[in-house]
Order: sequence, then structure tokens, then C-alpha cells
Amino acid sequence: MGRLPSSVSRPGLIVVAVALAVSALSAGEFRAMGRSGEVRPGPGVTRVGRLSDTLPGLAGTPGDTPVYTLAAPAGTVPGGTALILGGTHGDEPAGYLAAVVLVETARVSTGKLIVIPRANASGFSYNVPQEAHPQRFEIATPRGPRSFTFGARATNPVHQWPDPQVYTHRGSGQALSGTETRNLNRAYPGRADGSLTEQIAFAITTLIRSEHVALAIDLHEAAPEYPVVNTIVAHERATELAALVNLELSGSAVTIGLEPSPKTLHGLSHREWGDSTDTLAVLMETANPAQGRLRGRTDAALVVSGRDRYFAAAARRGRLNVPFDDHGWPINLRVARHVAGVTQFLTDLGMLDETKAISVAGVPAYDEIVARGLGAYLR
Amino acid sequence: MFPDASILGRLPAGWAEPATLLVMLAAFGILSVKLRWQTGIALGVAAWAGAAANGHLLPLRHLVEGGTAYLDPLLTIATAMIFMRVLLDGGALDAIGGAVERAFGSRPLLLLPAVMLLVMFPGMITGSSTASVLTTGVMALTILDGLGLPRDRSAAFVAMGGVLGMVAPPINIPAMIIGAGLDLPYAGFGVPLALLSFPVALVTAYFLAWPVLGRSSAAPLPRPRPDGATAGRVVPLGRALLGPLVAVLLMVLPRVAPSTVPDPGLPLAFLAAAAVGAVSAARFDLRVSLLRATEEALPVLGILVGVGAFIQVLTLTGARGFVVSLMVASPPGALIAVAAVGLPLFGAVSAFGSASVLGVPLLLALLGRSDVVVAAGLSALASIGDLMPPVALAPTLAAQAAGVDRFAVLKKCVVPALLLIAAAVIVLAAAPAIGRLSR
Repeated sequence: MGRLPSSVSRPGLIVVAVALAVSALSAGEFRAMGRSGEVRPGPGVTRVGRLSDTLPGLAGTPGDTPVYTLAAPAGTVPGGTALILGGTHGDEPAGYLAAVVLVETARVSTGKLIVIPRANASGFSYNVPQEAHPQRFEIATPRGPRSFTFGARATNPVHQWPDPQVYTHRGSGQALSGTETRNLNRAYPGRADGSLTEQIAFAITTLIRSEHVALAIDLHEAAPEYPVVNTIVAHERATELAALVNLELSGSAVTIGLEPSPKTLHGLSHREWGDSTDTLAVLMETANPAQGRLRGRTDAALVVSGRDRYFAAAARRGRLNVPFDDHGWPINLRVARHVAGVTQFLTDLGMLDETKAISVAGVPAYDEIVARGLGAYLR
Repeated sequence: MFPDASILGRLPAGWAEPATLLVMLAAFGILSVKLRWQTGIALGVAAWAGAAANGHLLPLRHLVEGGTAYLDPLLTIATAMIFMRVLLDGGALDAIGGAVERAFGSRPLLLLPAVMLLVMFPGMITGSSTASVLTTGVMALTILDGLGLPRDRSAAFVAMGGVLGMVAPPINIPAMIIGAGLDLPYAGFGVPLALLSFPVALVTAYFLAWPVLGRSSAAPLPRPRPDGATAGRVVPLGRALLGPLVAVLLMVLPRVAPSTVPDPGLPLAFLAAAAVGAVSAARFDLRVSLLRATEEALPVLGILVGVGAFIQVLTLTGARGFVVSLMVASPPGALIAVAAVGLPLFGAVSAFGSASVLGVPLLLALLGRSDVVVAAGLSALASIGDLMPPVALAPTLAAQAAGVDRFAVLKKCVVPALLLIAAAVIVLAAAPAIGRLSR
């Protein structure tokens, strides 16, 4: 029989008591994350469904999320269907808010718009440790501030755990670091019996097939130092449409790049939607200063104002891939870019193929959002 | 805007972030060195001091959120410690060490590369230095003891093997993390990672062992005996190998056949292996072993919790951005030197954290010089963080397993670590040429 360790001591007990007290006191802040009801459907919404309508296994799980349908009135020209995804990554608020703006303002007279503002709802229930992101941020509206959740890049590990050491993408065998197993935009086309993240991906891919979605747009943001930013990434079948959008937007105030979807990188929406369905798959990125490693103080003001001294300095040294001055990249500008991009895609889709036309009214233009602020168009 | 309670917020623009860094480092230094508080608790209190100086008087959410950042590594270390204790107290390590000694005792210098590869193997397939140090590393300790190597050298051998296993192909998690920052597929890393790890491993093995084994008079030291129960008992080699075999299988099979064998995760793999090891071992007091394993693991676990909170506050206050910006602001010609110093230093708090926080922006700053090779070189530098105090994960765990002072082990790791840094610098400098060759 060996010696029993003398591990119980007074300082040890104090440390444990303090740790328990701190955890208990902060629990409320964590539990308040991810509450629903942030989206207020506008007059154009004809149906509010759930992603679990497509994959019933998702019902009651943290991966289930509202799906907003904005359809033309019965008896009109059928037109095409487009899917707009926001909130694939909960820490990319411009994509989420652009989808919210569409749900709250758009009215469809031809075709159908399906909008999922929180594609990975689980990612809105926590923040990534060590990123110190704010749990919420506010957008000023004429009726007072509206509060929105700032989430995380991946599925909450409380909902999907443990991560493997290495994430192997099914189908391609591509190896990525284990945490990517919870990244929705590395999980497509997904699996009905896979992890929660793979199930969400599968449901979205299935929705694209079952609704005969002609155009699918995944709205993202990226750190200003990331090479693929302020750009469109397009599957090869969507190149013609994306090039047209790129041309028309670049003729306006919205300078935007165009990148081909890499054929060697699997699990991403623009690659797998394009390969495994008939949709034209594209992804759009804006520059989010709250994501970069170079950023300074991290708080709700940074999310909304998009101003950061360190990014401005890095831009002066030529270290960024986007212009970055003292005005930064405010959320109004980033949401305006996404909304303008979506509107242009819908317009040009009908120009290329009349049978797939989607006519949308009520959505604010780029200049309007920049001039009056995003809040002016939120309900 | 800074809250009213912020002391540092009243400083001129650009001063608050470096001042925060100074406050946090000073608080940590005073608590840890002068008042001799536990490192983990000192880090946590220093994190609170930094937040409070910026107006966050009760940053409970941030302390808790940051403290959970390393939950998976914490569980891996805790369960690996249990596994190691079961092998040691159950007599399995004695049996394995004895068998190796009988087989190779007369040719120790030929055995060294094989032992180094044995130590590296779990790290190579899991990307975790802890997995190496606390599994085959512990077996290697008994082998090296049997060869007559002093335990501080044996522990350094194992610690370096763990870190080099983490760097070596096929699995290098820091490289994956750095690559993911650029959407770089984890492909084509084999050659640069092999260049970085295997030559350094070979030289390290002989560097650490030659001064002792090269002397003809070197006499083998007695191998460590577990306390109590197993003394005098003999465990058959086949039974002794069962626990390690389960651990290796649970690590290897999910890699070899990911579509058919689900990955149980390292903590569950270690627990399953410990259970098999306990059943197949000589009779011993499992309760004592579990308590001792917990006691040995707690200081390291505490440090990782404190480190998580510390980095969270660095990010919250902008001090992290200050450090990263300062490094990336270096002229292009100096970036490799900055990486060689900055990545291991930041890795002192977490190798994976260093890869993510510094590795990604450094790769972006070095774009176009064969990105895969550059990411591999940066990953090796980040991995050296597992050797750096205050956490010094690999030497600390190896020192605990060997029963020696961790600073003695750290000292023995200095030259091999410098060698690995030199290898990484050469690979980074020659990245375009290596990229062309490895295509």
C-alpha cells in the first residue's frame, strides 16, 4: 500500500471555492447567449419554417433554425428560387444582418427567396474562448437600439463534443485540424446520420435539391488580413453569373473581387453545393475587423464601428488585402455590400435565364444603407 | 470607448495596450516569483489585474471563458497521467523495460534512434506531445534508465521526442491550424515536416545520450521501481503490453480508417487503455494510483487554465493585437528572425495558440514563398512552445514521469531546441527551393 497524497489543503479549498463561485456567478451570462426572436419577419415573408422540416432528425436540437420563405403571390409567373444563407459563422455579423435585412424588408413578386439568417444556430450560443468577443452588440434604429448576438465560428462544443484530433471530410478524405469538425463550411454536403454539424449541412444541401434552388448565396466575413476578402467566390458553373455581378458592382461604389472556388478544398458551400446539386453556388466575403489577429481592443464598439488603429497601421505598411483607413469598415458598410451583392445576383440571374427570374422590391440600396444606417431598415 | 473605471484608458492613444501588457506581466512576476504563488493562480490573478486596469472590474465571464479554452488538452493530460500511473504502478513498465534491456542492452548506441522513433510515434499520429511523453515516452524512460542514462537526460530525450513527434508527419496540428488560416489544404506537408523533424531527432538522440553512453565505464542505473504493491512481482511481457497496445490502436485506427472507426478522442483512448492496463497488471492499489496521477496533473492543469484566462484578457484589452502587430510590422527581411523568436515565446503559453495567433499572420506576411513549406516551418517554431516555461508542457510532464526537477530537464533541452529553431529558420529561408523539390 502506498502513501495517500495529502492533496486537500486550506488554500486548495479556497481556490476551489473561488473557482466555483466565479463559475456560478458567470453562468447567467453564458445561458443568456443565443436567445431567439432577434429576427422580425417583414411583410414579404409568406412562411416561417424550420430546417428540421427538411431533416426531421434536427427537430429539438441546437442545430434547428428558422427558415424564412418569401414567395411571389399565387398566380404570378413562377420564376426561380434563391437561397440566402447568413450566420454560417456566428462571428461574422454582416452576413447574419444582411439576411435579417432581407427577411424584414424584401417583397417578392416573381419567384421565391428562402433565407436562413442563422445557418448554424448552435454557433450563436457561445463565443470562442480567447477571442474575447462581445456576447451582443446593438444597432441603433429610429425606435431605439436593437440587440443582436455575436456568436462563434463553429458549432458549440457543448452541442458536439469531443472533437477528433484530425477532422477527415467524408467523401474527399481531406484532413483538417480537429476543431474544423464543428465548422459548417467544412461539412458540406453533409450526412443525415453524421455529427450535428454534418446534419445541418445535409439539411441545407437537401433543401437546395428539394426546392430546386437555382442560386445559392452564402454570406460571410473575413479578417482584413485574409487574402480572400471583399470578394465573390464562385463555383465554376456560377462563374458567368458572378463575373456579370462583379462587373456591374465594380461599376458602382462596391468594388468587389472574383475568385474561383478551389477544386482541391472540400466541404465548403461554394464547392460542394455546386458539385452535388444543380444550383449556382457562390459565397461573398466582407472585411470584419473583429475577426483579425491584428485587432486591438475587442468589444461591441469594434463590431459596429469597424475602426481599429492596428489594422489602419497594418494597411499603411501594405500588410492588408483591403484598404483600411481611420474610418475602418463599419457594419453599415459591410451589410450594405452584402445586400447590394445579393440584389445584383438576383437581378442578373433573371438576365441570364428568364425562367429563373426572381423579382424583389423593398430591399434598401447600398447608398441608402450607408447614408441612413442599417437601423433605418430594421423593424 | 473606455469605461469610466479604466485607469489605463486615460493614457494617450496607443499607450493603453502596452501598459496593459506590462501590468499583467508585472503582476504575474510578483505573484509567481516573489510571493511564490502557484503559476496557474498567478496567471489568473494577473489576467484579472489587466482587465481591471482597463475598467473590467469583475470580468468573470472572460476569466471563465478563457479558462475553458484548453478543456480538451486538460482532459488529455489528466487521463494520460492516469494511464502512465497505471503502467508504472502495475509493473508493466518494469516488464517492458526489462525486455528491451535484455534484447538490446549490448548495443545501446544502435538502439537510440529506435527509442527516439518510439517516443515520437504517438505524437506523429495525434499531433500531441503529451500523448508521446506520457505513453511511449514513459516506456522510453525505463529503457534509457536501463542503458545508464541519467534521468534528467532521459527526461529531456523524451520531452524532445514528444515535441519532434508533434512536428513530424503525418499529423502536425499547428501546421493544420496555420494552414486553415489561409484555407490551405493539409496536403504536401510530408517532406518539409520530415526535413524539420527526423534529422533533428537523430542528432538530439545522440547529443543527449553520447556523453554518457560513449564512456565505456558507464554503468546502468537501477530502473525506478513502483512503490509498494508490485515490488517483487513479475508481469509477463504480453500482459504488460496490452495497455499500450490499446492506446496505440485507439490512436492509429481512426487515422487509418476514419470512415469506419470513429475517433474516441485522446482522453477516452487513454482511459480505455488505463482500464485494460489495470486489469492486466500485477495487483496494485488503483485508488492510490488515481490520486497520485491527479496530484501530479493538477499543477499543469492549473497553468493551462490560468494561461487561457491570461490570453483572453490580452485579447479583450488589445494587448494581444499590440504584440502581434509589433511582430508583423517588422521589415520583410526580418520576418523569419521575428518568427524564430516570437513563435516559441508565445508558444510558452500554448503551442496551438501561438500557431493560431502569430502563425497565421506570419504566414500571410510571408505569402508566395511556397506557402506549405512556410507553414511547416512556422509550425515547428510554434511547437517549440511546448518546451518553453512557464508551462513547458513536455519537459514538465517528462520530469514528473522521471521524478526529477523540471528545470534540470529544461536545461538539457536548450541545445536540441536551438537546433530545431535553426532547422526551422533554414527551411523558412529556403522555402521556395524546398517547395520546388517537394512538388
